[in-house]
Amino acid sequence: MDRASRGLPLLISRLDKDYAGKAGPRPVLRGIDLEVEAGAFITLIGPSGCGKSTILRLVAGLDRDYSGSIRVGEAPIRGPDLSRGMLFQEHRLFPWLTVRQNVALGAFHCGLAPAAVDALVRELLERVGLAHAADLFPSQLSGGMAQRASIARTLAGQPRLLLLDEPFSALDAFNRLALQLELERLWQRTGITMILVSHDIEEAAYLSDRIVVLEADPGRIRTVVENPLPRPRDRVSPAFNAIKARLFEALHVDTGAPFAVPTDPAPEEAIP
Amino acid sequence: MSVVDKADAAARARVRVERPATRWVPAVRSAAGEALPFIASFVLLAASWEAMALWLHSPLVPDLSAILREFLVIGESGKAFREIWVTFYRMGLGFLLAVVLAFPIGIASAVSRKAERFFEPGVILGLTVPGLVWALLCVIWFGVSIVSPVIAVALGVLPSMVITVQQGVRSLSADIVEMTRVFRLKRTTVLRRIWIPLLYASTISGARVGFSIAWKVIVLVEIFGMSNGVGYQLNSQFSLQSVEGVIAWTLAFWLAMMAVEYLVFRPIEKNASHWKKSAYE
Ligand SMILES: Nc1ncnc2c1ncn2[C@@H]1O[C@H](COP(=O)(O)OP(=O)(O)O)[C@@H](O)[C@H]1O
Ligand SMILES: [Mg+2]
Repeated sequence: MDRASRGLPLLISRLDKDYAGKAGPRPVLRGIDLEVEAGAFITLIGPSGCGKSTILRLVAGLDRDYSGSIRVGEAPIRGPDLSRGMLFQEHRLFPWLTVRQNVALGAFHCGLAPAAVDALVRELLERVGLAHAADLFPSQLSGGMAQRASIARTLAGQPRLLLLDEPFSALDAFNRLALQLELERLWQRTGITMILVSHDIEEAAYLSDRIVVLEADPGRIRTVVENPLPRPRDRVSPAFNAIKARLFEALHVDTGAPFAVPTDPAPEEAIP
Repeated sequence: MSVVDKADAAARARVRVERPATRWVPAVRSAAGEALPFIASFVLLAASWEAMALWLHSPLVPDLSAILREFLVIGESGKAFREIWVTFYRMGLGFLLAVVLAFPIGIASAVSRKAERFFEPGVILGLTVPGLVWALLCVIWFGVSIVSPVIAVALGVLPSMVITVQQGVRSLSADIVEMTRVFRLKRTTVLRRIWIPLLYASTISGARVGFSIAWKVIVLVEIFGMSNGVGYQLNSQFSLQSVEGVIAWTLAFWLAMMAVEYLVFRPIEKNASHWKKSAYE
């Protein structure tokens, strides 16, 4: 499949979502309108609890209780599908399977012959730099390796849209930077549409074409920041900092400029 | 291979070439290191017993040589092996029955609150009732047939096995279950790749505890209702007032249990939980 036809477009209109609360239904998302063209890279950013993970779960098809419309490509969403891959903050590998077996399960539903699965798994592990760790168990991997294995497992399903729920936020700074670069390269090579949820303003500014800023109670879109900077992006250029400044402003974070720029805008809370 | 790896491999090769005669030394040393605490505990136990026998000088506390003589007598005739086999056979059947019942009950009580409430009183009753009661009731109800020991053992082992299976199922996180949906795995694949490895690993440690409970029940059934087996032999040595006989049979069974532990349970457990990381390896 060539690059242009790989990505799937996403169209969300008038999306409302409630969760059952103690005192009746509690509004979680209200009036979300979002159009993502095929092959774009967008980031959702906003305070904890504003419904970012909920949006991804709805697009993934893990939860079908909503009103409004969500369309990915031509077909309406009828449940999870390998064309919509998902990555989480935790690696979520199956602990009793080796890296190789985990990645092979990711390709399970593609209906490939066993030999083709073997070849695909080998190629993916090579690509994420885990060829030497194929027969290790998840408990034997470092955080960065485990997340790479998880990426390989998701890619094994040959997704055309990737839903990334803070996939790098549990990693140390070096692994995070390395994986951001690898994700960017993967995106440029394959043209998979990327929907990233992040708490990290720098990550959002570095990776995405467009940043959707959400606010909470109920979750809705506050503003959209376009990011037309050419790639590869220079993280210390004035233009890059200008994008970051717009994001801080959109999130109502006081940067205390010109003396300091906080790098950790929104502390993560333990919300399931 | 990196430069460091190469240098390392070269160094290792050199060691092999230069000192071929002493290659086995570390292996022997580590085997000795493993056996040492084992031997020490054995020697200490035997020495304390011998000291007690010498000090009390009573037929109620026979010395080691008397126990050893009796031990050789039951071992040489092959009697010990036959009787232990009979006991293991009954235990095994009862144990198997308990495992077969524990899976559906444990899984049901893990996934459904209603099922848990339904089975809970029974499980707690089972944990509370002493094995002696199961043994007595089964002998009264089923007489001297094979049914008595099997049912008694099964009743004794079942509650703890149910709890083991239930906790095993509960240990599967919702995240992992969700991944089976994300990857659209078939039911049979979920069973083969998720449930069986998980239950295999968590049940095997419960099985070891269950097996030692089984022994405590079977010996009572054999005392009350059977005409062979280790329990029967213990009882007849008791009626002969032969302390060395009782101890010799206990020792023989202890050895048999050790063999089961080291030759069956340990290897299975190692195999079942090789994917877990242990801090003590
Ligand atoms: N399964 C659920 N049941 C009830 N409420 C939920 C559930 N999942 C999330 N919520 C609530 O919905 C809101 C949005 O959650 P989430 O999408 O996880 O936020 P975010 O990812 O932006 O931090 C939160 O208030 C959270 O408590
Ligand atoms: Mg979230």
